[in-house]
Amino acid sequence: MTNLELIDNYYNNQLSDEAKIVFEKSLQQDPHFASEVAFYVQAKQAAQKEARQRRLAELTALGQQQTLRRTRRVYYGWTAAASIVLVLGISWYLWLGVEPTPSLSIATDEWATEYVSQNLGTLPIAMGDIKQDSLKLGISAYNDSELATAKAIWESLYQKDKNNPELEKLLGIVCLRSGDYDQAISYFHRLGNRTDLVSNWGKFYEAIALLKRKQPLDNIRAQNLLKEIKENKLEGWKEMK
Amino acid sequence: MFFFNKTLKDYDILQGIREGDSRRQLYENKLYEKYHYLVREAQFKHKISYDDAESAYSDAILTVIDHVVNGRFEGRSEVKTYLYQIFTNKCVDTIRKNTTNKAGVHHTEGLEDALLWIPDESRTIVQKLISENEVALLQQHLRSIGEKCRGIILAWGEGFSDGEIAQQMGYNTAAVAKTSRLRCLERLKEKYNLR
Repeated sequence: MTNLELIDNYYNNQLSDEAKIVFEKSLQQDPHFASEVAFYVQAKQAAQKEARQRRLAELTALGQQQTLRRTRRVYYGWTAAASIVLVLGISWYLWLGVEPTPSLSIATDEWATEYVSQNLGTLPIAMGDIKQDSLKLGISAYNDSELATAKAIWESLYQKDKNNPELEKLLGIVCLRSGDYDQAISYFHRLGNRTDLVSNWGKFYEAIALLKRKQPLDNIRAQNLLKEIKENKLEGWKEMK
Repeated sequence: MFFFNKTLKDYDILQGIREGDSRRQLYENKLYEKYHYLVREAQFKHKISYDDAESAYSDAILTVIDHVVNGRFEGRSEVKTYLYQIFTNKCVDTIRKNTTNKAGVHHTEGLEDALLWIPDESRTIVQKLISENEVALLQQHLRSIGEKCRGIILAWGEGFSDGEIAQQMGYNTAAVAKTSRLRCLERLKEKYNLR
């Protein structure tokens, strides 16, 4: 048995009473043995201190992780809350004044295309001398598929008479046929907002132009217009049967 | 799994620490995490830095663990109350340290505990041979005896029995763990004597 083992047994109470007496006598009489005991005591103390320091470092790291987790939780919480508020805000802004409506099955691009080709390919022209009436001259050009010419004629007339609902309708139609949907929507919207007309196709044509343009939310806006037309039996409501 | 339970009761935590098996450290961590919010409170109450408060808290937790393991904490008060008292004392120590450079008023560790084993007449002989400086030197040597040896010596320092050390470190029996531990102590002694 080495001295260290003997000392260890002494400290762990594993020596007999006789062995303990011998141990304590050796401690008093043998300086070398005493220094071995001193080493053992100091080594144990060093181990305790070192273990404590290691554990302190581990716990401090654990605390830092916990603080970091808490900070992250707060951050994620605020981010989630901010995102919800943002989404609600954007939705509120976009939908403000636009009442969501149930989907109308006819409100599709195909339906709009078919409607335009069937109903707006040619325009009715009143009897009379075409050459004397620029409006009719434009319709004639339109019916001959000279859309640019028709548009130029009507625009020229519109410059002189900006309150003419017929010109707004014709200019909207020619823009719609030419694929200039923004311009078409602009004319139809202006026309649709007029309240001085007995017959007003503005809202219906605007819905058609919106379905053709297909920008985000255009379909929703078109559906709302068509719903309004249907409910109030405005011009075009029969086309949706 | 118990450690996913965020509301582990104090009684269960203390039991886990007292049992002293390989899961003891997990229960210690649970105890640490459970009352970690006291750090923030102490920071404002004692007007010390967050790092100082956290360091004092870690120290307080280790002291409570020591008291639980050696039976000094008898459960007459709530764990939180007991911890709070020790933590407050540690914070006061920190303030003292920061203002007067005097620290360790409540530092209970000492060589005296180890010397109490030895009868009075022999104690003086050993007492003359040891000093805190030598302990610090041995601490340095502990870092140069290899990871495995360091691990087993530190486990011994933490108060684990040879049986527990065998279980934790994968030795076949407590006797094998003891032999390895004593061999590591010999290695430490060689390093120490070579200085």
